[in-house]
Amino acid sequence: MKKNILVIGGGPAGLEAASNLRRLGHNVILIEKEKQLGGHLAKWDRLFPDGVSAKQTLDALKSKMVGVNCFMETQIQSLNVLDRSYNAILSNGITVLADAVLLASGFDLFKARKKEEYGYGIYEGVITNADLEEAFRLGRLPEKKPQAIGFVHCVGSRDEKAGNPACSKVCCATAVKQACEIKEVYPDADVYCFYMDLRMFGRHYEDLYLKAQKQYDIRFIRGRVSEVAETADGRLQVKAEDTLSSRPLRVTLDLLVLMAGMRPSEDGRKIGKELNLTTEEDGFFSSADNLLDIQKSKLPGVFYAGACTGPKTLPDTLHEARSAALEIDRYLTSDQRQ
Amino acid sequence: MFPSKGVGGAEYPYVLVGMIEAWGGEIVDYPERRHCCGFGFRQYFIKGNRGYSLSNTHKKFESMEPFRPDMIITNCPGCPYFLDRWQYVIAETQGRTYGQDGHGIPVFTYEEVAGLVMGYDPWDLGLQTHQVSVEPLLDKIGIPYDPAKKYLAKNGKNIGEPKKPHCLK
Repeated sequence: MKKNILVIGGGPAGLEAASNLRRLGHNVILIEKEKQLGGHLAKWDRLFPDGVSAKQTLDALKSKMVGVNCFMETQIQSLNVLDRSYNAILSNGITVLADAVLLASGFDLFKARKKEEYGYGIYEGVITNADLEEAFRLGRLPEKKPQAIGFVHCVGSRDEKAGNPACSKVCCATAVKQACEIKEVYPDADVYCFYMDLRMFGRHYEDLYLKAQKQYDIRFIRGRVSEVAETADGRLQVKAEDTLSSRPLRVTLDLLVLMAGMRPSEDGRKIGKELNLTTEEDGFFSSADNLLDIQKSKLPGVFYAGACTGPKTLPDTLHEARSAALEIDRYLTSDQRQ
Repeated sequence: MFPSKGVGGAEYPYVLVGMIEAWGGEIVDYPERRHCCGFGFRQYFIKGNRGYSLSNTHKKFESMEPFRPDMIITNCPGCPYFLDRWQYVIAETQGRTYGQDGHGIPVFTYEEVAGLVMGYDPWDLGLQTHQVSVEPLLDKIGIPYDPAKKYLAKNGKNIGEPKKPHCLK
């Protein structure tokens, strides 16, 4: 008899896991709270390090979804543990009796307005990485040429005051990517990146960093931004520290992009509460084992894939999704299932 | 101390701003709004540090000048004392005045502004002790006052006029 698997979340993790599980012969039901599939990937323009189109990547993931039952604008109303399965009542009234559940609820972006000293939501010229990515995607960039643009790394990450001491992994590479992309649009502008460290850990990331310096003339300033204020003519006065020359610096910019970090999804947390799933101090879900069994939760039959267990890159997310599909398949077909 | 009872955020305080809004003023958000005025009480009173103290005030004035504020409002009475007196020093040493027509920008604590808004007589509030003359602002807001009574105590006796600073009107 075919097993029912409930996949919660239609982002890259959910999509890749669902299509793989379908291929393994299971019956997959995927629910997504938004109107469209793709999660955050649907809102992006180009991916690091090579500038691949986000839409094409998402389309490739969606093309494999034949045979998966998808419910859009649907959330979990209640989720209960039964003897060997999970009973989910969805917001559209449908009840699903699932033999396994995959939580792929992903992340929420850190609310940049919490860092008041950066002026997000106060000054017009201050935007987040997500806002900029959407501006690229929709072609909605400021018509008045900015003379100077800044990127602030680690907004809401590695920051005790903001409530998140952890690193969000992907923002450094994103900042370098976006700095190059915006320099292509406004080649005469001065582009600054205010960073603490440059986390260019992946393949081709260092090449991107070197290209940013040599080819795009991006100015990398190692130091934190202390405050942003608006001048009389509507530009942004940014105060920062340049630790490499041991001096404070003040620069007037037209546009400031805050690299907002990854926080656990609020909606995901609510679902976790239904099942009493434990989270770690950073707010993300705790796996059975962070090295050997990251895809398994502490509940038999409940699995994780993607950013719900911590900040991930897109390739990481896809790998986890495939690995989760394999774990679920093994779980459903083995005799050891209790 | 008690975040749930706080007004505004830690980095974007709203207390004075809220008062200005309540009293019908327009807020000028200038880049050095968070910068110290430099008084530091003991900082200034010790001669050796005066230049540094004053440079902070200068920085604030240079930053707010393009916005052309009509008045400055502060929390602690030390700041108005400082910002008020040293507009004169800056005017004399640098020849630079910050208000309109060489008048300087009058500085108040929120208590003084509250008093004005509540209808107290400016001279009862002690505004005659300000070095930067407050009359142009009172005229602009439309607060009635009697210029003749400026230097008269409550019992009518003249308390003595200061020698007028020749740089600020």
